[in-house]
Amino acid sequence: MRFSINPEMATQEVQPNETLTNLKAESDTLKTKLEDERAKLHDVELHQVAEKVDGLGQFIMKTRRTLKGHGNKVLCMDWCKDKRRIVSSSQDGKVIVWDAFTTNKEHAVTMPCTWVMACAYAPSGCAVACGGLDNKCSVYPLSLDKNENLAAKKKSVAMHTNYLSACSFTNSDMQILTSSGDGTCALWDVESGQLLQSFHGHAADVLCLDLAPSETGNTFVSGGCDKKANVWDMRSGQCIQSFETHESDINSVRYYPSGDAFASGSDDATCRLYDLRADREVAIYSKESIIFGASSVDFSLSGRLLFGGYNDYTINVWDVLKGTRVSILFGHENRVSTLRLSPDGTAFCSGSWDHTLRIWA
Amino acid sequence: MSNNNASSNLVVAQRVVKQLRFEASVRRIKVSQAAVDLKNYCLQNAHQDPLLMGVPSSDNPFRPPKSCSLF
Repeated sequence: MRFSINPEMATQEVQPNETLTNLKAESDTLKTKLEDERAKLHDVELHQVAEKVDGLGQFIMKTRRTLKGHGNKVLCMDWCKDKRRIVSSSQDGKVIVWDAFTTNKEHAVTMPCTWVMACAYAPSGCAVACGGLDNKCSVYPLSLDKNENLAAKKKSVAMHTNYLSACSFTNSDMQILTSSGDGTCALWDVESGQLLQSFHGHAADVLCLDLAPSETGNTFVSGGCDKKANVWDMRSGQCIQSFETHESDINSVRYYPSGDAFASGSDDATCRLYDLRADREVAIYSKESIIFGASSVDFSLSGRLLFGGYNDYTINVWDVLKGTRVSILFGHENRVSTLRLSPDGTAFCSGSWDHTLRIWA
Repeated sequence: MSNNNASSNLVVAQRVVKQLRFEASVRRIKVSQAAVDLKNYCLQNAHQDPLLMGVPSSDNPFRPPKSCSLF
């Protein structure tokens, strides 16, 4: 287990005769105590520690492929572990599987709903999951036979009471983690559709989630319209850490490759880095000239670069350690809505409201 | 009706306090130590980061290889 707690304090039961006023007072005291404890350990800024690190040179990253074929806004995408296939989903209800090397479309499915906000590739590469305004997450096994109707084999796995905002397979094809506009996240068994665990704690729509790298244990982080980023224990359903420093909706969260930190992108036009062992925000990536929200973030393989897709149609590349912007990438003709590094780190893909996906390298 | 509201408020407040107690109990390390670890991870893995280092065209499937054009 990556984090440790003081067992006496953590398991103190709330006494039944504590009144509402007492509880509210204690809640305020605890919140102040949390802030104080975090502040005490805030002895230096990340960029100060990184002062002696060599600066990054000029970055030349260009669009190497453009994937055209969606008829409306691209909302989400995910890479296959084979590093060449991509699944993407769109406002018009279409889910497309592409070969990113050749830009050919390999599969296409039309969902029964519009605004397919979430899609994910299964680790085996043999299935994709997607969902959106239908409040569900469905799994489609991918057939080698291109003529086969994928929709026929569709399996409904997750059921929420509001839109599906994000989904991700865990480290196998057997379980899916979902987040929803209903304010909860949930873990499901794909085969039976059974709810294995639910995660309550957000006070508003949950917009994004990311699983910790497998070496660091069974946790995931979620971000929501309540401006909070929560870290959860997948087995117990407990929220183990919570961060509330953003000033608006958190649209995207992504773990740092070591698993010790995560980044977030928000409608407040900033991206931020939170360290899990220091239990606080340790960097803000922002500029006065950036006034539009960040919709999606991802790290490069070493964690040195943070790529952020923004609502002003650009992608900003940040030096994670020094806190400075190293590059702006232009190309999309509308909001960037989704962005992910390829599994081997040689490229990243961005999807946009301009109906296209771009591969950058 | 008001009893129901009162008791559900109490339940919510109890849950909030319990959660805060848990979060307050988390053991934390200093930012200086955490920052050094983040920095070291970046530096140790830098040479394996294709987007950071740049990869020769022959190794990057997305970059067009420099080839002779046939007219």
